[in-house]
Amino acid sequence: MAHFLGLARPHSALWWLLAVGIGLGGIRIGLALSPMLREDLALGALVVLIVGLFAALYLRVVLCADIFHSRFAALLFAAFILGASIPTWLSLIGNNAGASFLPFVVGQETAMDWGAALTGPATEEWSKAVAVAALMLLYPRLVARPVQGFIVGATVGLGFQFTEDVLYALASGLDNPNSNAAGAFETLFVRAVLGLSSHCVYTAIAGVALAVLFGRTGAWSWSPARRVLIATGLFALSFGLHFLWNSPIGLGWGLGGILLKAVLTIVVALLVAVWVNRNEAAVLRGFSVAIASPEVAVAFSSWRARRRVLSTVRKDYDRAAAARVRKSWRQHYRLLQEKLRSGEVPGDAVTPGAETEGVPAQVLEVEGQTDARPEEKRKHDDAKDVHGQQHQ
Amino acid sequence: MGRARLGRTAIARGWAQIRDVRAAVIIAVLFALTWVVPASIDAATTKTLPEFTDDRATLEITAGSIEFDAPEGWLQVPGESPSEILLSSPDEKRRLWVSVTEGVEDFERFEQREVAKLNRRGAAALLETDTTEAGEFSGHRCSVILPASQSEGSCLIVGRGDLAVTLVATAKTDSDSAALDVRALGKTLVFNPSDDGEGH
Repeated sequence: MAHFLGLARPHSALWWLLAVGIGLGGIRIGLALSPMLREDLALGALVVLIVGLFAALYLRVVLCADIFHSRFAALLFAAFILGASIPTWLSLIGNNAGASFLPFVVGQETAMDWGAALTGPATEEWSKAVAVAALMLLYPRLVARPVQGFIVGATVGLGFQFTEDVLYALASGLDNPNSNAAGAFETLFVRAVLGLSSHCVYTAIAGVALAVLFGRTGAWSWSPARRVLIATGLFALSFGLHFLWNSPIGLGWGLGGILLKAVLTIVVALLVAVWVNRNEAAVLRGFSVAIASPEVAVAFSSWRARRRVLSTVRKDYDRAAAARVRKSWRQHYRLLQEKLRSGEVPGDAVTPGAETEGVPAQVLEVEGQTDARPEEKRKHDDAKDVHGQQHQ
Repeated sequence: MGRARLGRTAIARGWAQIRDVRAAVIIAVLFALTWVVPASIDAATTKTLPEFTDDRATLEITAGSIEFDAPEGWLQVPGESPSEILLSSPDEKRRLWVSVTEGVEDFERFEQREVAKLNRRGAAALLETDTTEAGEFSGHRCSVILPASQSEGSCLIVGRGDLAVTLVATAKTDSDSAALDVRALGKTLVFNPSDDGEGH
């Protein structure tokens, strides 16, 4: 299947390692799930379906952070499968070993309160980061910049969360004193509602850290020492958020404490997303100026400038025109991303305007010249302005 | 002979085309660290079980606590929840596991689900039909065999309101002593409601 998705690398030992690892991980997780599925297959299928739907929903939200369409869909599919298999499988073993020795090292009481916070982030963040690193090494052109590290990391995290949610929900179902469904849906509800502030955020941040560490910094030019420092900080942030979530800190405040931690995690994720998108915009802006007409540069300008253009178009025309502008921008993003992926350099020029077919050229003008009005209307308005000034 | 040489050549040619070997080795090692490190620390940790010194064992739940007479001189095996406890005899041939469950809506159904849970965890448990009174609680006794640890014994599943207590006492088949009497232990069970608890 990977062959058809354009990801097959049969001459790469790393590709084979991941392929075999995904297979073994899948078997191991299947074995862990089998007693639960044997007990209640219908519930198992329903849980997988619901968790899958939530994963799809969260992936959609994560993709909103990929403003400039840097993703490669097939890679996201592979990242999800990878996250759902190898890291989950290895973390299960690591967490069990951690739970076995921790009470003897930190004491029974401390292990009971802090065990999940100490072992969870250590094994899970580590294995997910290694999975992201493997994808970065295997597909250097597909994960070449921080925003791509963010998106691929988030998807590996979503895959991990998918397996974890299915395992936890089914285990809770079987352990519930009253019914399988009651236990499964209780767990599913909590994990699904709070799912966005969990593994996908931690691994997205780790993905950015790895991109920085590997020197895939896009528009940022940092010295190796600075890169190591920034990557370390981001890893610490990823680990710290997971530690905070698993820790008993804030649990005394009940639901409020849990929501506070979730909101904090999402705010951090948003800040990192804005940060890496600014970088991506800078990369594309430089590239687009070199290969296309300067009129399209507004598509790679700041969020505010883009909003201003869209607002002007909406005001002067209608919503449909604004949607067309957005669509044309997306076409530009995809075109440039394709060129970046294929390793093209700015020298390979594109006929200006060729990629903006069907979009009024006026709406694509650069910042500062964001006049989206048709020529006739502009002349008419200008005349009105002159007329108005004469009357003042 | 020639065919073997051809085969070797094909393998050598195929191997020569393989890339990313170093990256694969590094990633494999990094992945392996996920379990090698915790497993190594686990293997290196001296696990001396602490003696359970209290006369009465207490299990904490949201509605209060459950107490029962703890066997004298036994050791406590670390657990994951304050609502359960695992005790082991000093020679580690006998064990007692006690767990409290809250929110039980239908006790009979709970008993069946609890036995199924024990069976899923590798035990062979069978519920008896005679009702047993255990202090403030009542329920049924069951027999249990743990093939993996070559142990056998009995269990007691008793309830009161929406609370249920499960006691499992086992002894290795080669042990000189029999498993603890769960019926006798059950009679020492006491529920202490918390100040803001409903009292069940």
